Amino acid sequence: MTKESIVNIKNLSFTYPESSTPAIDNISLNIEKGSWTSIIGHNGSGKSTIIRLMNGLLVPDDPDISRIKIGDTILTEDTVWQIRDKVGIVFQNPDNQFVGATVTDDVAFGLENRGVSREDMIKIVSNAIEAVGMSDYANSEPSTLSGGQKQRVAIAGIIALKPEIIILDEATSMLDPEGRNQILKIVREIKEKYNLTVIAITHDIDEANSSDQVLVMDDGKLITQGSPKEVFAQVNLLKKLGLDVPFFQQIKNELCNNKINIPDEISSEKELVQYLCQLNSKM
Amino acid sequence: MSIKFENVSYVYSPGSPLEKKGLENISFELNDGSFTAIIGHTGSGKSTLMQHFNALLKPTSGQVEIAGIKIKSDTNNKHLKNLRRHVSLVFQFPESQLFESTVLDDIAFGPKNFGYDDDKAKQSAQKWLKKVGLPVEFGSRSPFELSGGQMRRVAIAGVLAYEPDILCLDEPAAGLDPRSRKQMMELFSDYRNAGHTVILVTHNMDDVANYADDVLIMEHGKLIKHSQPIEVFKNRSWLKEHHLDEPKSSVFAAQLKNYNFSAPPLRLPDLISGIKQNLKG
Amino acid sequence: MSKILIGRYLPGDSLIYKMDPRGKLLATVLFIFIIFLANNPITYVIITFFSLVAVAATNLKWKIFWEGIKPVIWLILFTSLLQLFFTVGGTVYWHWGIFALTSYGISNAIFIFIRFTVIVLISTVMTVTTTPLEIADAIEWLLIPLKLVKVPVDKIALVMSIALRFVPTLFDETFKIMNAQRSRGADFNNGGLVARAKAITPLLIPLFINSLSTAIDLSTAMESRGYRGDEGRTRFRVLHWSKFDLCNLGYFLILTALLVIFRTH
Repeated sequence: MTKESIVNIKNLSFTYPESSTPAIDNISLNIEKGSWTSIIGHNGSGKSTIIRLMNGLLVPDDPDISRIKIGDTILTEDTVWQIRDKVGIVFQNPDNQFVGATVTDDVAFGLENRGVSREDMIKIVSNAIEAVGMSDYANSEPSTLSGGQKQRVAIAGIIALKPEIIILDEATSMLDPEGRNQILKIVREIKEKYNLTVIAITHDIDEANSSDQVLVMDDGKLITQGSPKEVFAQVNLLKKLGLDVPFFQQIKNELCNNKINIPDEISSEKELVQYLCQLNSKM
Repeated sequence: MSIKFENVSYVYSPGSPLEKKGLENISFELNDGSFTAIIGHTGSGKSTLMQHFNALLKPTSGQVEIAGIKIKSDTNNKHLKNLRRHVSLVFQFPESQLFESTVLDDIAFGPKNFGYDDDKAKQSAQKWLKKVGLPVEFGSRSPFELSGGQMRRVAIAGVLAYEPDILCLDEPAAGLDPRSRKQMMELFSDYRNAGHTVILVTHNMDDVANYADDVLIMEHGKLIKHSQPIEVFKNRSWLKEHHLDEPKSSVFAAQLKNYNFSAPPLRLPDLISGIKQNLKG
Repeated sequence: MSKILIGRYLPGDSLIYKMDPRGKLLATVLFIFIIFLANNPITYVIITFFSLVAVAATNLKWKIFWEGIKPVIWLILFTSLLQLFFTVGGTVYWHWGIFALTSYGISNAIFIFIRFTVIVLISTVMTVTTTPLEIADAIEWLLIPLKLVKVPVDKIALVMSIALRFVPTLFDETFKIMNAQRSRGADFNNGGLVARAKAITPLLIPLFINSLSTAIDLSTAMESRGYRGDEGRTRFRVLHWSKFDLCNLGYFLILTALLVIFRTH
C-alpha cells in the first residue's frame, strides 16, 4: 500500500529576476505524510529556494506548467494563505524571525494574524511554549535568550498553528552542538506527538542519515533521491558534489582501501560495529 | 611572539547592577607556531578570552603579554595598534564586516591601516584573494554581490592580507557547506605551517583532533584544562562530566567492545590503523 | 552605554511597577502641565514633597535618580543662574551693569531649579519602572483617537514594537563590527573631526547592509507566519486597569487640588 502523499511537486522551475540561469530546474518530487525528509546540497544549490516555493513566498516561472500540491490543496494565489496554515518554516537565523517583544508575544504572532480570539490564544500559546520546554522563559525578551532558545520559540510559534508540515531551513546551522541536539530532539518529539511531516535542509550528514528520505540537490536540479541507505551508498557521486558521506561510510571505504573488506549490505553505524566485533572474535 | 596570561580576571560592567564575571584567574602560555584550539560551552568565556588576545578587552586584574607587549588594566590605548598588527581576530560570521565598494579595496583596508603603501596593499590583496580560492576577476566586484560563503572568504582574506603573526578565529567555518568548511580549515592549517600561530575557538571536536596540537578548555570563566589533544580526549569520563563531545573516531572506537586501543583514536587514519592492528592480533 | 539612564528600565517589584503604563504615561503628562500651577513657596514645597514620595515609592536606590539628573544638571543650573541675575523686581541686593541680584531673582531661580528637577525625577520614575514595550503600548493607546482620521495606528504600533525589540540586537551588532574593524587596524577614537567622521564609514555601511538583510529576513518570516496586514488581526497583548491605577490617578488629582488651593491667585 502506498502511503498518503503530503507534498507533490511537478515540473517546478524558478529563476530569480536578476539571474539568467534557473535556481530550480524542472524538479518533480513526492513526500509522504508523516515522513522525515532531508534535503542536502552545497550552498547555492537551490535548497532554500525550493522550500520558499512550497509555501508561496516565491512564485514559479510558469504556474501553468509547475504544480505544487500540499495535501489536497494546489498552491495558487487564492490558496496561498491556506497553505501557509499547513506549512511552518523555521529559518536559519534565530534573531531574524523573532517578531514579538517577548517569548509569549512571539508565539502569539501567528495566531493574531489568523484572528484567533484572545481566550483561545492564551491556552494555545502556553501549551506551545510548554511543548518546547520554554515555560520558564515565557516573559523573557529575545535579547536575553540563546540562539537555541530562540529557535525553540520559533518552533512553538509554528506548533501553535497546528500545521501538517514543519520545515527546518538550516535551522540548526547557527547553533552550538548542545542547541542543535536540543532542537532536533524537540522536533522529533513534536513530530510524533502531532503526527507531522518534517522537511529538513541540512549540512549535517549524520542527521540526514537518520531520516526516512534524502534528496540531493545540485545547481537547481534534483540529482538523486531515496532512503539514506540508497543515497549514501553513492559515495563517488556525493564526493563529486562536494558533500560529506556519513562517518560509518568513510570508515567502511577506508577499511576497504586497507584490504579489510566490509560487505555491501552493511548500511549503518550499528551494523558496522557489530560486523567488526564479530570479525575480531573470529580471529 | 608567545602569548602569556598571568592571573587574568575580567569583570563586565564592574560596580553596576549588571556586573558579571567574564574570566577568573587565568594563567597559561602558548608557544610560537602552535595551533591551539579553545573549546567550551557557549557562555564559558571563550569569546571573552579571545578578545584579550588583541586587547579589545583589557584584564580587570592580572597581565597579558603578547609579542613583547604587556597589557594590564591601565595600559594606554595608543600602543594597541602595534599589537593588533601582530595579532588579529576573526569574529563569527566575519562577512558582516565588509564595507568597501570593491573586494580588493576591502581586503586592502587592513594592510593600509597598518602602514602598507597603496601598491603594496593592493599586491597583498590580490595575493590573498587567490589564496582564499576566489577568482581574480572577483577583485573588482562589489563584495555585496557575492554569496555568503564567498563573502566569508573575502573577510578572511582581509585579515590574512597583513599576515599577522597570530591569527585567532571564532568558529570560522560555522554555517558553511562541507566542502567550503574543509577548504577553510586547510587554509588555516597552511597558514600555521608557514610559520604563524593559529588559535581556533570551536565546538567541532573533529577539527580539534585534525588540526590542533594544543587545547584550552574553558568552563564558567575558568580555564579547566590546558593540554595536548591526545591527553584531553584520553579521559572519556572527564569529558562526559563536563558535557564535552569527542571526535567521531573516538566515539566509534569506544563501541568496538572487544578491541584494544592504546589511546582513543582521534582521527580516521588512527582509527583505521587501530582496527587493523586488532584484527592482525 | 551604561551611563544612559533616561529611557532605561530597571527591574523591581514595588507598587509602581504594577501600575498600568497608560496611567503612568497620563500622570507624567498631567504632572508636566500642573507644575505650572505652582507659583509660590508653599506650592513648590508641596510639589517637591509629592515628587520625592513618588521617587521613594519606587523602592529603588536614590543614586539611580541622581544618575538621571546628572546629564542635565548643567542645563538646570545655567537656566537657574540666568533667572538669578536677570530677573528684576523686589528688593535689589546688588547690581552691576545689566546684572542684578533681586529677591524675585532668588525665588525665581529656586523655583526654576525645582521645576526642572522634579520633571526629570518624575520622568525617570516613569522610565525606570516601565519597560519600553509598555510605554509603546501606552503610546499606542493614546494614539487610538487618530484611527478616526484613518491613521494606521495598529501598523505604527507593530513597527514600534519591532523597532524596540531590535534595539539590543543592533547594539550587539554595532559592538561586534566595531571590534572587527578595530582588529583590522581601524581607529575610532583618535584624530580630528574629519578623520573620525571618515573612520565610522567602515562601521555604518556594514550596519546599514546588515539591517537591510535583517529586514528582508524578517519580512519573509512574517509573511510565512501569516502576516497580511491589519485585516482580521486579533491582539494578544492587552492592558488592564487595576486598583493601583486609581491610587496613581488619585495621587495626582490630590496634588492638582492642593496646587489650585494654595497657589497665589
